[in-house]
Amino acid sequence: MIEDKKVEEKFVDATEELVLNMGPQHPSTHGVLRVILKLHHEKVVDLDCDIGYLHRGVEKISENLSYKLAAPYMDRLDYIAAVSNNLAYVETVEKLIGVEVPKKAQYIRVILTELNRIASHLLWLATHALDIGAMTVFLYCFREREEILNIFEMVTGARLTTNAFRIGGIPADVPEGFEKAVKDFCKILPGRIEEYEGLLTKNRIWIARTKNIGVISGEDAIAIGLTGPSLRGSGVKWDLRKAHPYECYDEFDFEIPTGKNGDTYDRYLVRLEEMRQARKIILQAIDGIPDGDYMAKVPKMLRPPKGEVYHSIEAPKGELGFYIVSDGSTKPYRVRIKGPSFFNLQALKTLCVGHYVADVVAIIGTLDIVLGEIDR
Amino acid sequence: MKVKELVSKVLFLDLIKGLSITLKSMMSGAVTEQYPKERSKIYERFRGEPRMGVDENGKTKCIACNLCAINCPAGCITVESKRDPETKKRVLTRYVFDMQRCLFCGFCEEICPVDCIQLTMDYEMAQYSRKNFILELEQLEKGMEKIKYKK
Amino acid sequence: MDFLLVAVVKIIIILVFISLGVAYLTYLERKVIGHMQVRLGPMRVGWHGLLQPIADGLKLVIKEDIIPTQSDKLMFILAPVICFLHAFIVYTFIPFDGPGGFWGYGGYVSDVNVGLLFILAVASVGVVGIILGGWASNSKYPLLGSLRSVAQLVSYEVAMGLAIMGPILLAGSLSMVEIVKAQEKMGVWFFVPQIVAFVIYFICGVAETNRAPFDLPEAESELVGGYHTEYSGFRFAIFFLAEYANMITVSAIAVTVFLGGWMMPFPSLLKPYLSFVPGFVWFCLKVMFFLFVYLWIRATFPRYRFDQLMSIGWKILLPLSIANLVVTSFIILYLKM
Repeated sequence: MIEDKKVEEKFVDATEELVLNMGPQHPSTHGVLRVILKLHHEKVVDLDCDIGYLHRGVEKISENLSYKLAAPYMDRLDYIAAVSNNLAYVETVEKLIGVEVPKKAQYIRVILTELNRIASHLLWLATHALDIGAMTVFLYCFREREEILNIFEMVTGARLTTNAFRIGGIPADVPEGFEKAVKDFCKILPGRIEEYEGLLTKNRIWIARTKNIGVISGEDAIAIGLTGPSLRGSGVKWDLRKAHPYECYDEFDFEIPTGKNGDTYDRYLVRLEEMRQARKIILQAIDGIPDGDYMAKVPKMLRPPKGEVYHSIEAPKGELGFYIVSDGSTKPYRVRIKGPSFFNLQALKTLCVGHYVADVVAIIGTLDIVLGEIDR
Repeated sequence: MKVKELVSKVLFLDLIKGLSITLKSMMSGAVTEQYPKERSKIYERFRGEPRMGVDENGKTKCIACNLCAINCPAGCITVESKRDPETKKRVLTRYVFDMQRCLFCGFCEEICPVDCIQLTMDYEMAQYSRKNFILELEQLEKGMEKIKYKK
Repeated sequence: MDFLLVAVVKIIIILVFISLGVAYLTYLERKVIGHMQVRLGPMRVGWHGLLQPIADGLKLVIKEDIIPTQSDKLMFILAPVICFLHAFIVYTFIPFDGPGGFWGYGGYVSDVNVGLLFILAVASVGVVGIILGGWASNSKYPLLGSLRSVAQLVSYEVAMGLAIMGPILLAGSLSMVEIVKAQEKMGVWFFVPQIVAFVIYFICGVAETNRAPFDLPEAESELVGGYHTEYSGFRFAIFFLAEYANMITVSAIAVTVFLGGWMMPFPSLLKPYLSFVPGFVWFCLKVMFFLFVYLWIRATFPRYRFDQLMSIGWKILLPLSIANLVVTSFIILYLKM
């Protein structure tokens, strides 16, 4: 018996680890992420992430632009949730110069960001399901996302990189038909979510592929710095919309969904529920848009006082923060972006080791990363 | 509960539910838009191809104030002007718009005091050569040369 | 002499018919899955994209033929041929129509008394092509894909073979024609008394042909393209055709063994009205139904993970098929006594 074990050990030692290069061109690394996997048979022993293929130097670019002009670049960080990115930057500058945004603008901002949250989660669900092999969900989600993009186009003039907000408010009042379009969308959304759930939630294959995959406890998640739905899936009830309410989120009634086990399946359920909650917020906000100005008085050329400011919002993927240092001139001295995807990606190794190659794909999907923001 | 689960597993009820959803979608119509043949509705605020306005005499509206160039995050606009010795007004001599760098953020359109530069609802801007993306005033007034899709 | 001529003509007819069938199966797949995903599928080439398969084939044929420099060239070239050959050989033994079909010449090229066994044997040689293709590419993704494929095919072959044993016991013959005749005699198609075997066979068939949800050897989201990652142009097309031909084979076997081959459904009801319809039309309709279910499943389900796939094969399907076999034999024995 002992000898048998020795032989086995020898055999195990004799097999080499297979180094598999996943990406940067790979169908399911969600962009240009490169993961160097060390495999023992098909199990992951170790992995290493290589990022930076999409580096554009957004932080440096914004140091050379005036405060107002850097905003469109922030849309291109997390291009799936451009509105949220824009909001985070614009709010940080507003905090720096101390401008109070009119109520009407705040409401419209909330509606657009929540729509964007739904769009981002839809795209996440689409790609996550496609990674696991359910290709129909992919196109169903895109069908609904299209509706949201139409609303964005109607309000802001662009579908993806919207440049939706300006420092001090919104560039223009919402056009006619906006309210109806949003309400129509809210009407169809629950039925459509049912459809995705019918295809996935109870499906035995989906459960087999996601339950107990990539488990992380709440403490570990906090230690690594996970934010957003990935953190809430582990049962930590932390949402900046409730914890540090910005805009007028404290006026709305909504729940923060959390998971129990911190596995891929729970994160999936949390995101689905978040879509429903976002819809709830939108419906409350669209009925309560007050009259009045949509733009506060802001000087054309901003010269904020010397100082520094950090402000963060709950973007669809997690906490998105901007840290701006002003030296009193028209350009920021330093802009630092704390993007959620970068921190969420750190959890990849913790989640993947011991799982199969196929699960790596599922875990990359469940973390909901966007390389535009990781590499920035 | 346990029995119910077992029954649904043996009879493939969870899978049949998914199958019924896809079958239902198959019966309902498609949402595809056959692009060159059908075009989707473009909303009025759409920020597409840049265009310079002209007044009723066919002359450019531009007053060479240079605000668009200053307010462009990508620095894709170049305005050259000279001062007219008689009227002491600035006159535009050259206006270049580099479409390759444009972010389509709409700041130029917002800032223009005479509503001259505008981002129009045209969205088909593909070209065969990089040279064609650097637009001079004349092209900006007429619009880019379009490559039309033939049947 | 006459016999040879008839055989050659039949072979040519079946070859052309199957090749066209395979080509249009890709079209059907794109259309069916497209509509399930609220899309339209191919629409441009010809009326509703009807000429799309021809355009695709033409494109693949005129593409540059790339053989990776580090590959084993002979094996690399040979692999798709092996796959293709074995996918097409099996059609020799599939009865598209009864002995009186095809205007009295018999609706099959040959009826061997071990037909079913031969089909299974030949079909499983096809996997050699996949192994060789993955190995000869000398690349990691194809290697993983081909390894998965071998394990998958070998383990599902067992359950599949045992599942077919049930109907064979009922028919008392391995000849494809005899099996159908036995169903005619019994008055009921074998999927009714052998429902468990039918379900097992169907699941195994999906796995055998590497189709979703068991399409692990070519799971594009993990392994890029699986065993044919390094293949391009015509060689890729051959792999592709072989896969679809295998789909038709598996469906055809299912129809012959479980769904009464060329017989019409509800003969007592429909015979007075539809007796003019030749048997191979019924056969094709049944095969089409199977293919539709294949596509339907592909459009709906996610993909299993490799270890889950193996455990389903060995821990659920194999014991079930053995149990089915034992129960069937006892019942037959009891009835005979």
